[in-house]
Amino acid sequence: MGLVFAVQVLPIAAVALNGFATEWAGSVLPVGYTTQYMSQLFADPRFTQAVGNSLLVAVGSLVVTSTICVPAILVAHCYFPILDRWMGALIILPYAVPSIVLALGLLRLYSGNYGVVLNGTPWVLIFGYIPLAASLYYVPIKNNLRAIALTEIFEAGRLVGASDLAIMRRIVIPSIMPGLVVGLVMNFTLAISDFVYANLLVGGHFPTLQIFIGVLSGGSGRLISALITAYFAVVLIATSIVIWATSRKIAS
Amino acid sequence: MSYVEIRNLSKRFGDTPVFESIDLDVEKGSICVLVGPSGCGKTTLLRAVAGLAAPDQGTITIDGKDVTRLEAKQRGIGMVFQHYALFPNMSVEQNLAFGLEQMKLPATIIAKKVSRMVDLMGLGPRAKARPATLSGGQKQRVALARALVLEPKLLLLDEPLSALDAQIRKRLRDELKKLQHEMGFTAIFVTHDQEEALLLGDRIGVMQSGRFAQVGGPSEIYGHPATMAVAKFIGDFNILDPVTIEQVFNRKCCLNWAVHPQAIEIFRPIPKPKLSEGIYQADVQITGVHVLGCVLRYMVQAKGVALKIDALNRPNMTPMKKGDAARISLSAADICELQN
Ligand SMILES: Nc1ncnc2c1ncn2[C@@H]1O[C@H](COP(=O)(O)OP(=O)(O)OP(=O)(O)O)[C@@H](O)[C@H]1O
Ligand SMILES: [Mg+2]
Repeated sequence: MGLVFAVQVLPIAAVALNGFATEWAGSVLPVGYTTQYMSQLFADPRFTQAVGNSLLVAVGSLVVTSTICVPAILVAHCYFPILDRWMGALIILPYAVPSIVLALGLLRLYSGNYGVVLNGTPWVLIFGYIPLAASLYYVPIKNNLRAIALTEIFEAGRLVGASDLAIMRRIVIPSIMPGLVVGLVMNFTLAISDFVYANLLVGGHFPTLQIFIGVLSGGSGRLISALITAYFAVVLIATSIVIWATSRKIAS
Repeated sequence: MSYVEIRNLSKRFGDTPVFESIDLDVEKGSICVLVGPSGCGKTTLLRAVAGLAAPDQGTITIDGKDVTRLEAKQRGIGMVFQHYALFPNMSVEQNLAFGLEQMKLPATIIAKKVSRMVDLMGLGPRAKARPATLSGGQKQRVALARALVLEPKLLLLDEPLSALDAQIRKRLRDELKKLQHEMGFTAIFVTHDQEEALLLGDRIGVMQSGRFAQVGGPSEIYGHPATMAVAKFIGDFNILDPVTIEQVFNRKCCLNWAVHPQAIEIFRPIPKPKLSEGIYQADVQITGVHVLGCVLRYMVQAKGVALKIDALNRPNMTPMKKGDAARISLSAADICELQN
């Protein structure tokens, strides 16, 4: 436990320290501390824009993916067991093909060939994450679904006079909440930490945090440490908000 | 016209028929028990009545209304499943309230009905608990309460007690009987347990491969089983085929006999047995004596045929011993002739 903690936290702490250090070489801890790099970072309009862009994409993809993937998983599980088996295989496909193939496919799909033009807008990212998001919802939600006797619950619910919709809303969805929260958090971090798709799909048109990190990586080590620290803070805060919001919904 | 009428009901899965042309009547305020070997179609019949499985043919009428084509949620039928099927994310109270909420009743009335049912079932201390934290007996009570709180026209119970241990099973069984007296609900109850069937059933239907072998009151089923299947279900009969009967009692007949162990009298051999009309006697060898509480069970051999005989275990009585020779006597009136 302590070891895990050390392995996971030490690098972050070191990066954070580096972001605040005046000089750090040849000693265990930095010689002095300064907020110079942090303030330089926050003063940079490219940074604030990147944070805004990243949050926009992340929140947008959460809304879009959860309204598309979650109902699809539920309906397939409850009503189309045959389809469900296919879905299990389909869901890993986006991870099996190289990202470049998927990205090119998405670019083709959204470049007007099929009547939808999304290229160069954040929408291409938001929709582009759907295939990736599906499996992040699928696994934890499926685990929760398997743990409840769904057929019996539907039958018992219908026998007390409830519609399928009421059974979904009052019993099934609350029962899969833990899985849904895991899915939401994982998708949030996917969207906010993704570099590959962001770079391939929108690149400079719509710089996200990761792309900004990429831009800065040629420059000062201090500045980039400050950026990564800020990035961790953003992810941490946003993830806590997602968890807090969804767990509050369970309690009510 | 009966309260529940099932007429000519058939159901098949693919090519295999589960039951065919079943008729069943249940009177208002009575419990009808269905028994029969595993796989004979009891659950399927209940599911057809509940609207969870569509019958291929036939009609189901409840209180004069044909419900055959109605959806499950519109039939007003309550069901208690063998594995409870409680709503896992809801407390005991919420489980009971869920159905009432679907009826759009005012919250105050829902609360009143729920708390009355919770008290009636002795669930008060666990009213706020989630199903996962309840014992098996408590879960089954919740399942029963959840169905009863809606005051269903008909209550279906599919082996509701079979997942419980013997003591709780007996207690719940007695409670169910009492509750039925108080509330007067109408129920169809499926069980494997003959004691449960005889105690709870106002009428008992013994099913065998998708048909009723016999339908009757408990004393009729117990005293006069009509077929081998019924006798086997009641259990503990001495079943004798015509060859054996001739061998032991020197009688010619063409049907199997079922004889209750307590219908046979056993006594020490007397030199000159008094023979009279309608009394069959035979000499036997005692091969075992078991004390079953108030009953003494003698295992005997009569000309190579094994029989079991029950005698009252009176205090201060000296029972006969293993190896003793004895004589048995049987009155013709106590013999059940079985149709095949
Ligand atoms: N969904 C189904 N599809 C195909 N066959 C089925 C289905 N449900 C039940 N059966 C078959 O129908 C027959 C009757 O099953 P049913 O569950 O009604 O028996 P039962 O009398 O309740 O048995 P038990 O006492 O073991 O519960 C069985 O042979 C079973 O295999
Ligand atoms: Mg069954």
